[in-house]
Amino acid sequence: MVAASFGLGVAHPSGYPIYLILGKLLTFLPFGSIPFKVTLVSSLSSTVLLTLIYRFLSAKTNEISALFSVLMLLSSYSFISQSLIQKFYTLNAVLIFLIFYLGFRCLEDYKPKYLLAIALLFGFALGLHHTTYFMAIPILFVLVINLKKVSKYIFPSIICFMLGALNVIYILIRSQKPTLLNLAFSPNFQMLLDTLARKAYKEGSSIEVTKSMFVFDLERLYASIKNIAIITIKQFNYLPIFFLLLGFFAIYKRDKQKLFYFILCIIVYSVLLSYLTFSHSTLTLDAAYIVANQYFVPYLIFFALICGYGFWVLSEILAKNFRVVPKLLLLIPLIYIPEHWFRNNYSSNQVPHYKTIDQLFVKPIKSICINEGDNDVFQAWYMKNVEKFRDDLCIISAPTIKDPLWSIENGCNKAIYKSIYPELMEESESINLATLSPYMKKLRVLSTSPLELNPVLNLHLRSFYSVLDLAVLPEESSNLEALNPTFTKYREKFEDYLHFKPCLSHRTDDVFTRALCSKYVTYLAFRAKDLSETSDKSVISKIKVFFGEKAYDLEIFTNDKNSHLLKYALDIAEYNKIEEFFLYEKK
Amino acid sequence: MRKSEIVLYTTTFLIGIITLLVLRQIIHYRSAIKALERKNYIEAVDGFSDVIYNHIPFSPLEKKSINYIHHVIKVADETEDYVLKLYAIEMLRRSIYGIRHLNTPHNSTLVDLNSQTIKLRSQLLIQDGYLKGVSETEDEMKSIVEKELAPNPLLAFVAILMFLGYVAFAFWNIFAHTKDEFVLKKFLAGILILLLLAFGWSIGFYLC
Repeated sequence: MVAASFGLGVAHPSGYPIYLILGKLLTFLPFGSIPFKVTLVSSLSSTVLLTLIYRFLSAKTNEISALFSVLMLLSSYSFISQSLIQKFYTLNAVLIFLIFYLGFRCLEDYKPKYLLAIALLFGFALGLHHTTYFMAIPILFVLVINLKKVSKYIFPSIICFMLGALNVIYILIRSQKPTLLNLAFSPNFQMLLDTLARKAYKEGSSIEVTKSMFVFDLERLYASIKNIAIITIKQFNYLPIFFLLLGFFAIYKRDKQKLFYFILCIIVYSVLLSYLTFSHSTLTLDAAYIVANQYFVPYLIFFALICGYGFWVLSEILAKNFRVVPKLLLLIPLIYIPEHWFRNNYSSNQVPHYKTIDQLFVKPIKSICINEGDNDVFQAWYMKNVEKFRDDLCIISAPTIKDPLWSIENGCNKAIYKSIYPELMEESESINLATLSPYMKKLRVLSTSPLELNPVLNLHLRSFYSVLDLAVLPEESSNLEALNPTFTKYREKFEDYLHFKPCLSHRTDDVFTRALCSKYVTYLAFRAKDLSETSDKSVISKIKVFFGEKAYDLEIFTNDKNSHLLKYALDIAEYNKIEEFFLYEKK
Repeated sequence: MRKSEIVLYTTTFLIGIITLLVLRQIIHYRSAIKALERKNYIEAVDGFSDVIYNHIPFSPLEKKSINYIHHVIKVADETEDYVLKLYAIEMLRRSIYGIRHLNTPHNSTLVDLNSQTIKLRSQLLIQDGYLKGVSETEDEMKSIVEKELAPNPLLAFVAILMFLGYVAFAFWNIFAHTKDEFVLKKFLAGILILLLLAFGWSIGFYLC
């Protein structure tokens, strides 16, 4: 997102033009680094959102209840997490809250301007995360309530929607020319539609996900409700559930229509969203962090809003004799803020930054890097394209490999590298494996995971562990063992340059950091193995090493020279074990 | 929300950010100086480049950090440690590219640094058995180092302002012309202005 913002490129489908434009605007601030400034989009969005919630609830209840609601949201693990990273979920949440607010106003006192503004916001949402369209269900209820008044504004509403949706033209325009990063190349209208529908994600595309909404499965529904319950308890603990129930009661007492509206809002962003994206029978760490930690921010907002109403009822009851009690209750959310804050304090986490630097720096000049997975690909693209760190390298994203052709656009843009890497620049914007043989023989093709694991490529290639990555060799390379001293020398040469120590002190709760640190574990284990062969008397240590998603056991003879490296490796593995993660759920 | 409140919050926010950056600069600078005293050049380069990365306009620490990294480059040259030299150059270069805004701070350093990068990369590549000659290799490296795909900052800024104007005007058009009843003529006139603005930002994003 940072590279696409700075370069006014296009992010992954659905392109996210509004986020990128705001991100780019903030990069014009004359202080801080580019990633720091782009993060401000999320932080500012959260600040705006909390202000809007405070003002809304102050008007509907009282100031102390509004403060309680804001503090509750601020104390939730995922809200803090999303406010401090370069992602669009808090900006999306602002849009969802604005639509909610306008719908609420329509229920109070319908005016056509609210309807038109909702249509405009839905239009803008086309260039953001599509979970915003879940608000269509509660808004449909509002429209049904005001059916007679609404009917004559259908045509102006469509115009307003189109005016909002016009922001996606940005994707079409920026795909016409080479940019720093374009993850959803859409130079024509058909491709733009595919990007907006997120067709690249196949079964995860917006269309397929919407279709799956209409397939009823009781088991899946049970799993989604169970997962939502787990996540709610993790975010807020048990006590706020009391305020939630009290909140529903308070809204019911005021207005039944609004109660139904609130129920619809909370159901679509909890059970329905969970049914579509989070109905895993066992809660894996990836599901907890990649799905739950991101998608359910709107659910947290509605949860906190309703709890604010509940707090209001309680504060009214206690107002006569126990005025101090509501103020003391405000302390409850404050208890959780420090822990959630420190676990998400990414400014103390240097791992992604230095791991990317290390990974690029250890490569020979003019090498080809085949990076697999978001952790290795995105950060390398940013570091190389925006900060121009080791911009002599050509970075290929491995998931796009189609034997014998590999796609290369973002890490080796034709506009710059055509004459430097002519072997890679055939007409089809892909490369032929055979042409890379000279690079391979010079040990200048490196991959983040073993290419032999790919069922097609294993016919052509062999790989050998180098420094952090694997050197890729042609199939005809017979005596791989003879290369051992060369790689041992490489690993020794860069030992002082690798920043594995931040893996022991990052203090954050980040699954990506965990994956990155596993690369250092592998390096340290191999380096220890290099030093083990010089000793006679030694003890065998077993250590897990990682190549991409795969883990292997490596047996190493321990001696005085390598024991400190093994200790680092084991400590890093221990410090980053899954049981330490806040959202981890024991099976 | 009153204007004075907005000004107050914005000022507090900016002061908060600048204080944070100042603190970070001081911490990194101190640790880098200590590392330099221990002759741990890698750690020193990391610390000094972090000072620059947490950029604040007119910060005296940044100038000093650049000078210290140049000192490390000199030491690496003297000891013929080309890996360290490459590391120092690449780290300094990336920390300057990483703080770009409407203009590039420390641009004059960057010009010199880019020519050093071209020379060193070419030298290392030839040492590694690259078959092309020095000038040809340097030309190759030059074409990478000097080519820029980032948008023109000024044009991008104007295009973004037009886009934000478009968003603001779209809301204003709705709220100004449909107070109680819908004024179709005014609304349609507003849409024409919106389409003009959309044309403006589209052209801006295309050109930048």
